[in-house]
Amino acid sequence: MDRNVETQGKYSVRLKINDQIGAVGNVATGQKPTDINQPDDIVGRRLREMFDAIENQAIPDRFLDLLQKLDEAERALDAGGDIPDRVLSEKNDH
Amino acid sequence: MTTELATKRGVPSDSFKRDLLSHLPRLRAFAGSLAGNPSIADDLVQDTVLKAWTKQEQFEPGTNMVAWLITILRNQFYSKMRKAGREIQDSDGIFTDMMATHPAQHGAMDMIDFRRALDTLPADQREAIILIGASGFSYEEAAEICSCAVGTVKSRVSRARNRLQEILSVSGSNDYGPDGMSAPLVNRAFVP
Repeated sequence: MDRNVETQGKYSVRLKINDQIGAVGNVATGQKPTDINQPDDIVGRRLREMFDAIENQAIPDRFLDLLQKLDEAERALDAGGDIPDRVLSEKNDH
Repeated sequence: MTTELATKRGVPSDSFKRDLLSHLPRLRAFAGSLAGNPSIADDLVQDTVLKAWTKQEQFEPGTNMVAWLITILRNQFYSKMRKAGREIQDSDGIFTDMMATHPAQHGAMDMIDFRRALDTLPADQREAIILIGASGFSYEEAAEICSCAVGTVKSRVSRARNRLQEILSVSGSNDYGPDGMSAPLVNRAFVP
């Protein structure tokens, strides 16, 4: 019960926010105002959980290797050479 | 983490590559959310890093580098999709591996259900809801990234959200609001 009261409070705050940003939500029909960025929006929460799970993973070695190769390529260019073929040809080698 | 990795691996020689490195987690999360298949997603990120590196003189320092990188990444994504003649996503089975590190706030099954639901959306709607709902971009930034009007982004996000909520309600994995049985009725009852 308490949660319902609290939730309704949040929705009334949301109405103002939604008026400003033009998000959906219909006062006249009583349809819940919606905003994907609200902390308790179920779709938004699932989306952020999925996104954060990937974002919090360690960076795979292939990217660190790639950045090192780009460093090498830049050094080769600075020395007046061409970009070593292997930088571009091995791009999907993992 | 970036510093730690960089120390281990040798610090990239310039600030452009250091910034690139620091944005990789965000890029991977965007690509993974958009493409589903982690291997395809990381290929997209790798293509993006290479493209960004070759075009780095086009980047204006002081502007939003993540937005610039995401713009490149989505162009790569749509270009690959056109070449493949279909949507490049195939998340079944593979996504479970990624969930190994997921804080078990919801079951892994819920997350897989959500992933599948996300994959049923048209790519433009999926992209919009990821940009606005998870990546932290404003509607204006998202509109610029997608080369479309702000109103178009809003409408795509809204349609994507409604569709996902509908699927989640029906699949009964909704732990707030109406339960799986009543949700379709309740939602319908309030449509004018």
